[in-house]
Amino acid sequence: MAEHTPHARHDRFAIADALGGGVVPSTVRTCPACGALHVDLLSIQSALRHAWTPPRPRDLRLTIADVARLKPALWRRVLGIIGSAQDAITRPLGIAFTSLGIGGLLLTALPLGIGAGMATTPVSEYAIRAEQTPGMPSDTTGDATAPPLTTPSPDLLLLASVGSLGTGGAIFVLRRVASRTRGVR
Amino acid sequence: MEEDLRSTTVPDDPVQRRDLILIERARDGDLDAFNDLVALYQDSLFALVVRMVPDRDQAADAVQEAFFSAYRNLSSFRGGSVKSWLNRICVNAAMDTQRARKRRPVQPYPELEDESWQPRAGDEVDPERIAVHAERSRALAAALAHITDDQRTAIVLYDVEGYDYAEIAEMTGVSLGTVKSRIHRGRLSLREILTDRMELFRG
Repeated sequence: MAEHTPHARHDRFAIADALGGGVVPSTVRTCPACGALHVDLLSIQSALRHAWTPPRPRDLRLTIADVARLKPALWRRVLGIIGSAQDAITRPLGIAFTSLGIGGLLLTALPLGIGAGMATTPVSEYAIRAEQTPGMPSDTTGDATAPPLTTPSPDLLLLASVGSLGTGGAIFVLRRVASRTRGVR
Repeated sequence: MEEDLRSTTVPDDPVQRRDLILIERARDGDLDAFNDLVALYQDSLFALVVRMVPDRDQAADAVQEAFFSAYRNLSSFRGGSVKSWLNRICVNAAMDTQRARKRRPVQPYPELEDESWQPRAGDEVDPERIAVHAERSRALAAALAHITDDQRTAIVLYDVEGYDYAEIAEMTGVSLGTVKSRIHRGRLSLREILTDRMELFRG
């Protein structure tokens, strides 16, 4: 048992833990060195609570100059607004851009007529009809020399989608940065 | 962000009510109101930080930085105890100072030998007791300066400030086990350092 083991093998951490509400080890009663350690640790803990501290060397109140220096720069103020309760724009804007981007990417990726199939026809059928009957004014377009009605090329659509997705992502990253900047450390 | 603090707080405690009124006025740009808070808490916050950063000037700088940070971030205060909020900002500022000292170790912490150590008003009247208490406080401060920053921070937060293990773990960003280990090792180190002076603490 504890009384037969040398002090060096007793658990000193358990004695230190007892000060924080842990169970007081039996060695504190059976081993004089452990008992002394326990008493000393309690004395130090009590003294720490009541120890004086050196006086504060100066007054820490803020001056007007301090406040002027602490006034955040414009970029910091903008960041402060982004993502705050006052900011009702960036989140829906980010969602809108991201949705548009994803939608656009889906459209360019779709092999159906409504997607890329339609977009790969550079000239509308109205323009083709006008080309086939030179001199005959088209009843629908009115003017055959007018620029043909086209849908965006897949490259353009892809570019716009990626751009939109990037903008949406950038807005969310900005919101995250803003929220971190606002956090008090 | 600019929510009305009165709606988020318990107005029963007059100290908290007073602090929240001051915070609201400070948010509205009233520097005097913020400085009233500084005047109310600068001593207790300095006492906390100077135990963590045993250098008076650096401790004062850390508390000053904490007040700057609090002023800059008044809008992020979400109610509750202003004292706790300021305490946390100060603990972070003190840990930043400790880290800066590690990066630029210029000199060890100077001994806090200073004749200006005084008891709080009304604490002691017997000159002999005052002398013993001052000697004990100096011995403790010197011993605290010789244990690691992490151990010192954990011990000060637990034994002096009364935070529990979980709160200290959250404030210092380490696990509960690490906090306990730091406190236990720190206590044993303090006892080791103070072995020859334990008669000051007994009785």
